[in-house]
Amino acid sequence: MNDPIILLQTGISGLLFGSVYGLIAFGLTLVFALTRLLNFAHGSFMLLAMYGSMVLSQRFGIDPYLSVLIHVPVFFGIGYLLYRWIFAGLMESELIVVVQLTLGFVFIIQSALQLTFTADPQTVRTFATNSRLAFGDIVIRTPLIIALVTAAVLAAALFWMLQRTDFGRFIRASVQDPVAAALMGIDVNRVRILAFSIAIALLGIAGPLAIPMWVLEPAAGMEITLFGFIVVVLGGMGSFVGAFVGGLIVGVAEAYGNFFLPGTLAPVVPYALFILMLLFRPSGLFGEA
Amino acid sequence: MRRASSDLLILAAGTIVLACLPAIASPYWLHVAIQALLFAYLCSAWNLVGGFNGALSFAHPIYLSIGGYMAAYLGAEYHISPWIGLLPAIVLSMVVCVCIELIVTRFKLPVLSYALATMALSNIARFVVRSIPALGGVAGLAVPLNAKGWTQFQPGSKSGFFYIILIATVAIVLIVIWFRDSKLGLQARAVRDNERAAEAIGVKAVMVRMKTGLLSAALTTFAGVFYCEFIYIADPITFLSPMLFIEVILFTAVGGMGTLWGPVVGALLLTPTGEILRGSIGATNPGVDGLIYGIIFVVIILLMPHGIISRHRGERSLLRRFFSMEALRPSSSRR
Amino acid sequence: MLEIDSLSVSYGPVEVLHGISLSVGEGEFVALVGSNNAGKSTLLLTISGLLNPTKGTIRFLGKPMNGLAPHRRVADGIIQVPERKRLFPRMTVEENLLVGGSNARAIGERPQMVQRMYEAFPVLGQRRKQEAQTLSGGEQQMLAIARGMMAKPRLLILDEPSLGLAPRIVGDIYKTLVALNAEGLSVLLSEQNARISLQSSRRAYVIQEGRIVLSGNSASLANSDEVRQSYLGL
Repeated sequence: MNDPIILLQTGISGLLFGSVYGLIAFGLTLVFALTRLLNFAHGSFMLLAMYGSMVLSQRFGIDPYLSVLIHVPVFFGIGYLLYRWIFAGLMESELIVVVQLTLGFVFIIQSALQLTFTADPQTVRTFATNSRLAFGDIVIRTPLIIALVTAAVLAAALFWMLQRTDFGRFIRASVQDPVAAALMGIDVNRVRILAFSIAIALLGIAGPLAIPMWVLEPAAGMEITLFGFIVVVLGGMGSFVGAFVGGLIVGVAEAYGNFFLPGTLAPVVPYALFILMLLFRPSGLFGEA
Repeated sequence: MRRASSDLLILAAGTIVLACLPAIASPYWLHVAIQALLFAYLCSAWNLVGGFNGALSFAHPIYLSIGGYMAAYLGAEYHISPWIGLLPAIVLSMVVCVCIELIVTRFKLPVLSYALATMALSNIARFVVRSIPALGGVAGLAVPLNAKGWTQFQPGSKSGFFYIILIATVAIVLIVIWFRDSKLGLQARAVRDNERAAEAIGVKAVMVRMKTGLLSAALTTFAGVFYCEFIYIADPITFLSPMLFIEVILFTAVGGMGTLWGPVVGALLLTPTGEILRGSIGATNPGVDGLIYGIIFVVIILLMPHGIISRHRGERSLLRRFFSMEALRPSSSRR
Repeated sequence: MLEIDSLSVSYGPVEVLHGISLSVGEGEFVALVGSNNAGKSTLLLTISGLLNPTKGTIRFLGKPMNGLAPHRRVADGIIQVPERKRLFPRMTVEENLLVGGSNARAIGERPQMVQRMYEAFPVLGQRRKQEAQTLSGGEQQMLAIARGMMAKPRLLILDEPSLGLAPRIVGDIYKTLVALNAEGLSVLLSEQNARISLQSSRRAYVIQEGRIVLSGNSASLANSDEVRQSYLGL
């Protein structure tokens, strides 16, 4: 069963899954680096995006990939209001209070989803669900490729923003020294609220991308968040590059885990990797200690 | 101490009232009461570590499951009474606790990493346990059918279970009273509030965390044995899923972390609330109950961020802060 | 230009500045002298809006500053080079300058200002693509000042610019500051080591335990016995 082609295919699928993890983690890093707030409901918002796409697909026949166009402004708005009304006031609170509150949100979102869609797992079809692309001997499911390409383009755009635009510089400055940033005239609060909104909007994109690859169920929100945090810590807290690279690594590790280990044990791999990383390099791959 | 004697009075009064419950309550409400007390117990045990020592631990599901699985396994394989099985379970839990503490200390994990790491460990435990056929795999390990009688931890009636958990809860409240007023308890709080300052005056944070953790782990293990016997099974989802354990943490936080009565109040208030919601609205509209439940949580947290029984005095509610100018000031205004 | 009247500032329940009154006139070079923990940084941070006073007022160009957010004060022209420089460590020299010049008044001339900074501080030009944290102490202080200049200050505030720097470099920095002041920039700086700050400034205040204890012409302060003993190490 160790056919090199299959091994390679597994690895590539892992990369493609990983690119979506990278997007999730990028948003988390953005929020955490700027606000030091732990949003346990991060994954729940992605779940909302996925269910949203499902509704748009079933009710209006909009392909989930197209739903991204609707999601981005909607989720940006949700993020903006959420930060303005709730998270801005939490900046000085203890970790446990933020954890409690966001866990409460997880409950609410999970229940609302369960109420509307029942707890049964669902799948959503896209135009690409059943097609595959072949590269020589290697066959990859098309949705994965779409995910990778989109994630790669987004990553490039985000990095360009961070490195070359004033807003990106404001973000980096606010992360590296918020006091100095304020002294240079940066409205750090505004940077925070915009960054938070971007992070949630990214979930609006990651959701539809992940739909063909995952099964939807209301309880999945917490797991997505945990995965996101694992990737962030693996890649190095506060490192945007680390978020993406961490995502790719976790994706690949998960894929090989699923390949080599029995089904009930396989999900262990990313978590085990996480623990190992914490032990041997707590600052993560690219993090500053 | 004056505080302890008033607490003991409350405890005695509460116990007497609750002891009458089996006589007057319907089986349904007795069941709810058992769950409420179980949560009160679990929350109090977790509160030692989370509230008094400031460590956001998600490792407790592991201790819970060690208790549950050990009881079920020894009972099924060797017909050993769960009361006796409790001992190796506690030992094992304490060993695991020591390992986790050593790792955390050696690598100086900050609060967030500690929470995530313990969550990851619980998940790893879940995946491992459900892959072991000898432990029942995904379905879990059932309590043997022929296990009957108090010696086998099967009182045969709800009131039997009720009295067990009532006594256990009374015991743990007494333990927390002792802990709170003891040197260890003071040291735990010192480490929680300012570890460096505590170390500077000679408190060994590592030992304090270790001792507190061991106590908490041992107590939680008993709850695992109890719960397994109560629901007749030890399974990976109920015992090891972080999502289910979150209720323990939330109840403790809502009740008031780091206080004696906080976890008890939180558990005794919220468990029946959830049950009532589930029974009334949830029966007709599944999901609405969870929604209302979650909203209640969030509202309580916004109004009383440090819990119903707060160890802080005079803190402002979050809602009031949202509408003040302070929310808009950059955090950089603090040096 | 800057008028501070009976300013009191507290950290929580502890009051650290007690009724401070101070002023900086247009085009003046004013020094604030005091030992560690005298309250210099607290005062400067309050002027920039990062701390809120409990009592008293701050007026800049006649406009009251109380409650104004830090970034708005920058827009009005109050620019601070904070204690320990506080550069953006992992951003390049050029990026630090760009951020410095990004407020509304400065951004129009930003590219030209960057060039002028490289001309005024050639070292920075050479290291423009290097991360700020890789620069030497003196270079970092120069970058911090240049970054402040990028913001087109009307009043430039510096918190202990000589801290940790070799005497020769300190001399260079003060020469630059004097030159800028000669061109019309108002300067307010704080120092522990009084000597060079009293030499370069026109007026000075001495702050001790949160109060102004002496004030006046820098030259006469430099000659006073008190100052000589406490702050000039004589």
